[in-house]
Amino acid sequence: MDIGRRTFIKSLGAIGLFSIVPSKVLGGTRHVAPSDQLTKGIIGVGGIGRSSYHFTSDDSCRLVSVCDVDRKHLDSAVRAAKDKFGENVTPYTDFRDLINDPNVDVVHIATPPHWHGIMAVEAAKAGKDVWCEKPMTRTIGEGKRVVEAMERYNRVFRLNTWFRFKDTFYGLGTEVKPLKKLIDSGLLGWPLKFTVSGATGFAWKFFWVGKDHLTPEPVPEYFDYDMWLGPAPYKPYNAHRTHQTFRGYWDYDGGGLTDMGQHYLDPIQYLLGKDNEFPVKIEVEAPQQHSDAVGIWRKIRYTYADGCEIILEGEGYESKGKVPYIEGPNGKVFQGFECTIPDVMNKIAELPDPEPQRTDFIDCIHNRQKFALNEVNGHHSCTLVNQAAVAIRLGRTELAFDPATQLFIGDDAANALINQPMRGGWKI
Amino acid sequence: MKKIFISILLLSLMLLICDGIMAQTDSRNRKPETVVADGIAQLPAATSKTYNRIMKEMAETGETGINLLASMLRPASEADNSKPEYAINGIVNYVSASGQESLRKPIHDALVKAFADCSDNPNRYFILSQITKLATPSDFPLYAGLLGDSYLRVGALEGLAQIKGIDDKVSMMINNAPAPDADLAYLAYFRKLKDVEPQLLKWIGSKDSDVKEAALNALSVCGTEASVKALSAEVNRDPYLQLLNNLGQSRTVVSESKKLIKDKNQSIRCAGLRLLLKSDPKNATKNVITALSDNNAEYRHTALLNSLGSCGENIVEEVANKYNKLSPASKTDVIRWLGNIHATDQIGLVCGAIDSEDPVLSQAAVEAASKIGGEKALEALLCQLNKGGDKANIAYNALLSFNGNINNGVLKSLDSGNPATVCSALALASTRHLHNAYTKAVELTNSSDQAVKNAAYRALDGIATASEFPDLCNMLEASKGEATALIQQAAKSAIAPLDADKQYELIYPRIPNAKDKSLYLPLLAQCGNDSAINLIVKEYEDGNKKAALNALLEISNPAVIPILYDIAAKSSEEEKDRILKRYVSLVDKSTQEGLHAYFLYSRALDLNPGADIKKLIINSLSKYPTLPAAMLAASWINDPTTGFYAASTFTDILNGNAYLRRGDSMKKISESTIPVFQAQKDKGNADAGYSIDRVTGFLADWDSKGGFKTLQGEKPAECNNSISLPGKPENFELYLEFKPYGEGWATLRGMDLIKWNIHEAIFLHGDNKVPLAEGWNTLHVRMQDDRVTIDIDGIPVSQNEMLNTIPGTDKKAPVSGDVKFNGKFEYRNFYYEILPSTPTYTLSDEEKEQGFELLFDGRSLENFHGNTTAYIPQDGTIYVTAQYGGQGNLYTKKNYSDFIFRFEFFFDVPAVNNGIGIRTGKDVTGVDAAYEGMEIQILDHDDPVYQGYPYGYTGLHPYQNHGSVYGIFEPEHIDFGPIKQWHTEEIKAVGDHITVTVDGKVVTDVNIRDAVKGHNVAPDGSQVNPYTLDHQNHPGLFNKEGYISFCGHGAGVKFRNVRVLDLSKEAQDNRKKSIKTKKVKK
Repeated sequence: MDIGRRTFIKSLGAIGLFSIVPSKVLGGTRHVAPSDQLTKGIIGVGGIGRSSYHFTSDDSCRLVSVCDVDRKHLDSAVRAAKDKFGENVTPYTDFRDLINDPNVDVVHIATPPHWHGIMAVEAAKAGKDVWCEKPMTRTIGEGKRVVEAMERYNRVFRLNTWFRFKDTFYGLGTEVKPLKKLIDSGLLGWPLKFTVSGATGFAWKFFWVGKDHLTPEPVPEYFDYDMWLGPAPYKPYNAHRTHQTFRGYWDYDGGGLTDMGQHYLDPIQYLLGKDNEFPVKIEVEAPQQHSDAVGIWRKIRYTYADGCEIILEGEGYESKGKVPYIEGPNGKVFQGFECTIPDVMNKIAELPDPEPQRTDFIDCIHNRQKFALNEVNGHHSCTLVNQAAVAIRLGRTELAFDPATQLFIGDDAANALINQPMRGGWKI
Repeated sequence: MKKIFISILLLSLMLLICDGIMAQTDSRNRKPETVVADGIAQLPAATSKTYNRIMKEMAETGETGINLLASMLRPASEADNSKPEYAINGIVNYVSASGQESLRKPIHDALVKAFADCSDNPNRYFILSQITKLATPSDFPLYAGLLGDSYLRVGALEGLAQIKGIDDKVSMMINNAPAPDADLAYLAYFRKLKDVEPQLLKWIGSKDSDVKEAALNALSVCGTEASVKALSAEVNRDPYLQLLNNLGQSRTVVSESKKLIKDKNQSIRCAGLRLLLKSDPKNATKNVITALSDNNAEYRHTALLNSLGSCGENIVEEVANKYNKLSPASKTDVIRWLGNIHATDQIGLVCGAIDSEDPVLSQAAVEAASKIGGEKALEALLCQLNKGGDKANIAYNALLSFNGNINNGVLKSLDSGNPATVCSALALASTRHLHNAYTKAVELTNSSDQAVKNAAYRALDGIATASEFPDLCNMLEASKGEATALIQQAAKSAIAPLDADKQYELIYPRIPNAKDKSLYLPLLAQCGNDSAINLIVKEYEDGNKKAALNALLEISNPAVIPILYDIAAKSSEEEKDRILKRYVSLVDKSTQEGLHAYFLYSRALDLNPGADIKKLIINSLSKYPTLPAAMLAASWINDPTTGFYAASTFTDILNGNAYLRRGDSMKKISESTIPVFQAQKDKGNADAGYSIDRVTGFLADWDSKGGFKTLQGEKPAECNNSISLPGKPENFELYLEFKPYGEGWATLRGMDLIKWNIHEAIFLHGDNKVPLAEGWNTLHVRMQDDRVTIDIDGIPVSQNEMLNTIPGTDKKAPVSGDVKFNGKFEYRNFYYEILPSTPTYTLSDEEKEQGFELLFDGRSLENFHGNTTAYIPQDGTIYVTAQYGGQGNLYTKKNYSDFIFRFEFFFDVPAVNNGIGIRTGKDVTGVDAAYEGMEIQILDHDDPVYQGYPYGYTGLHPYQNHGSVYGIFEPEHIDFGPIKQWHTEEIKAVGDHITVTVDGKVVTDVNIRDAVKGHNVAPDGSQVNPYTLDHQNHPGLFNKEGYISFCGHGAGVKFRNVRVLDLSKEAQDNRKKSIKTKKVKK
């Protein structure tokens, strides 16, 4: 259930504005593991949760438990933990048991998105720190709840996409940092327009679509479908709804847009210095969507109050030829960091570095500091994704958004998708 | 094209509706049934524009549309409901938008009725979720009644939480609840209900923790002072704090928050302070000042951040007065705060703090000064530059983002004489593009201080403009050491804003006299026009290879692509990969034409680059979905390093080009990608799972007929004389790569059409020449009907050109003949497909004798007008791609009154709908033929979409079936069997007598005047005509003549062998005359 303390929490959140975080840990329920070693439990060990990047165990953070509603996944994860790390991990089928296990310090949420909000809030209540896969939440309302819970229970939250602080950023061909310096220097001018498109080196996964007609199938005996659905509306089982392909259904996710969107949009919010802002207008060109199955889209344009724009070009709408990734009044940046400003790399080298980001999650946990990509900026960039998903689902070509209330303006049907009731007694 | 119409209305209901909606037709004169049928045929809509148009039209049909659509929903476990679901969901979303309020009620009412009539749970959930989007207070009982339904409870709660204007009803339900209920408390919370506080206060005593939590949360938003005591006693402080926050400026809040600021928990203290400041504005200033002396930083921040809203305007001054008595940490907080609120009045205080011994405070003050801006701040910061070390750095960084104009200050600092200051000022001048610092900067390049000297050279970049270019060149030619690169850079930047040719005009005159030409290579590279490229290439050939190559790699003009290739071909392995990386990126950016990109990538792979470049190339191929690209990717699928990339590219290409999903060899390659993807999937790559789905999907609808055949695979073979395709093809397509040893020529359909030597190839029809590359060249030929397409090395030589005569002669071009390549050459990747011959139609002797005219011979639409773009000739048929609302129907050129119209038709997609319009009035187009003339229905009428569940009978009226005179006469039912078969039809119209014969069987034989007892319109002038089967008026039923038309409603019908016999008296007389004439001649 929604606690709705946003306004109030804002005052607690004020701490963040001075970048000083109290060192004291609130909550009191956190189990202190021997020495400084942390422990973690992974919820969802079928897809990303079993990938080599996430299924880890080391001296700084030991894997002690796993949870899944698919017995095959669970068994295989338990075996893998034994084989790879020599750990006898505790298997759980109900994530609440994992979250309340006093041996777990960090809860790693690797489920489909319809569970992210509930699990993050429950973990925070239980005094756990959280690592959550993108997209942060499936609705804007759930994102607000996660922000409130992390602030209230003073938890450390990491949203797992990382391009704002490391790795080559797709079509850019370098990390985001030099671009951040370039933009902060004002050399490109203001406002800026970003184009995220195949033509600028980004790929939307349009094959992640659903089927608009699924015939009911028997639920496999090793699979707890009711628990997999959790808060999502009950719909007859079909394997395509679940593992891997769940991304193609609005009840659980939103296709390539919601899956890749935060990878691409979060760094842009960071680059624009809009970690605490939302676009005020969202325009969408998309084919009609089914009420259940996610389809493709063609073009999305976000406009901020100061005139900055982000354009996402989708299937069949991609610009041809050379298109700037960033366009400002005084310069453009193309794929591969080709820039109309001469000798830009040398110029950037001379500019001051942006404020350092805290990118060691374990360190943040020990020092009770906010991670570089946390619940607050994560909620903001996830909201971009969810704004577009609402417009696409409803077939709206344009929606106006009020950043103060985090509601759409003059569209009740769109606002109804901001908070969605939950099934079976689940609450956030 | 009357279409579908699964009307579920009874006659009584119809009378009612006929007064309203049904009597209306839309702007295209279509009835609601037609609109819905047309709409459904076009779903899902491909674009927002189409979507909005279709939904607008369907929504305007009101209840009729929803009734029709809801009747198509069948039990979810048995049927595919996607079409009606797309339509209903789309209509509801459309009318839920602002501005569409007037359309909502009929849609809503029809949905409520459909919900009541529906018994299938998934469908009920679907309909309920749609009602919720349009629900009004009168729907309360519906939702309240469903709370006990375990399947629909969530849907019911959703409605009760969101429907506007039912607060009183929900409150009453909560107050009368027989037992505490967490969901009801949740509704109170969600709706912020005022009147349920006593009930909720009872519920927080519940032993059920869910109920208790829900009630507490609800009270936190709807409670009054009456709840304060109860909530303050709870272990969970959140509801209590939230409640106080909601209560605003009340005495209770003041006294409670005074307790809170003494709490042990800092977060609670801060919350208490915020509440205190807000609830007690009179004492707010005092409380803020007190808080600044607190030891806890978080608490001090809370005070400062909430001060502006709660205290009077003098708070800034009050805080400043207190400043000196504060601890260093608290001083830092205050300084940052002043910066954040841009406290210009306090700039003195801030600047003073810059000199503090405390480094944290000092840095905070520098940053705050930069945020506040103004001359005083600027002076203080520039002054810091003199101090060197960390302080200077901090000040320099602050100046880069200084709020305001710093130009004059920077210029002044250039004269300061302090080397550290001058260096910083030079850097600032460069970043801020201060052109008037140029003379001074040049002067400083002669400084005796090495640091200043370098800084001055560096600063020229940014300061210099094109007018200083000659000066910079002089400096460049005279320069030594590090300075050279810096001046070069400044010169580049100075002219970069100019276009390439202007840059060249400035650079070129300098080169002949320059002692070291390579000084200008980077400038030429930036310019990059063709002349610049030539100069750089010359420098390369003259031996300055390294510098020239580096310059070539900087050029973004695609003209450099072949040059890079030639150099790569002669380079070492490492250098080759470096060059090819640039080559690939340029090709990617500049090449639109798929076959040309293939040509460029394929020859790059021929150079055998390293694995990374191979992967890059294979990935890039996926953007160009052509047959050769697919085959090239396919050849790398079994390679362990490139396999996954090649398999992905191959499936991407098939995805982008459905035409390639044919034939056995392509199918085998597709199957071979599955194990590659499976291996990736096993490694945890979720995308690979989708790729398998995609390939499996392709294989499920694979077209096993046709497809390309291989004459020679990727391994080269030699031709010493000639190679040919089997037989004498008529229509064909082929791809070939060849390396000519000398002269040769291509014979196509027996005509010598292309000649080549090792330098060039010529298409003899029009003598279009293309230079040939050294090494492999590609050739693509497609000949279909009288059209020829040829691409050489991916460059179009002939695009669908007509070829009626043999080049160089007047002789008619043969329709088929040898396809042969002659001469000595090496060849590989030779793929071809013999396409079906175009079927053509001629009249039988009997029909000729009778006087039939052939309207469509398989190749041309010359006897038609109207929509000749959506109705296209294809493989000897008229293929209908028309979406209604496009460019309309296809009409004969002549008018016909009495006639026999014969044709064959073919349903290519299920449920497809068309119609033959006749007698719509002389020279009339664009009306609904079913009413303004007659429409002889064409419809795949047995498709399940027309079954009309759950109403128990066929949803279609018999007068809508294929062969009907639409709305007038019921034909005998035709059992078509499976779709995708040809059927024959004859429509005979003589006076009032209409006969329709399908597959040799008469299905309609009617006198239309008798059928309606002479009343094509209602005798009483109303909209309901009891004499016609559809109870509509048919004002055009007795028209004498008009065009014959194809009235397409959706893609997927084909027609062929279309001919007509004009039975008008005039035509018969003419025929008699001509027969007589012929006889006389004999």
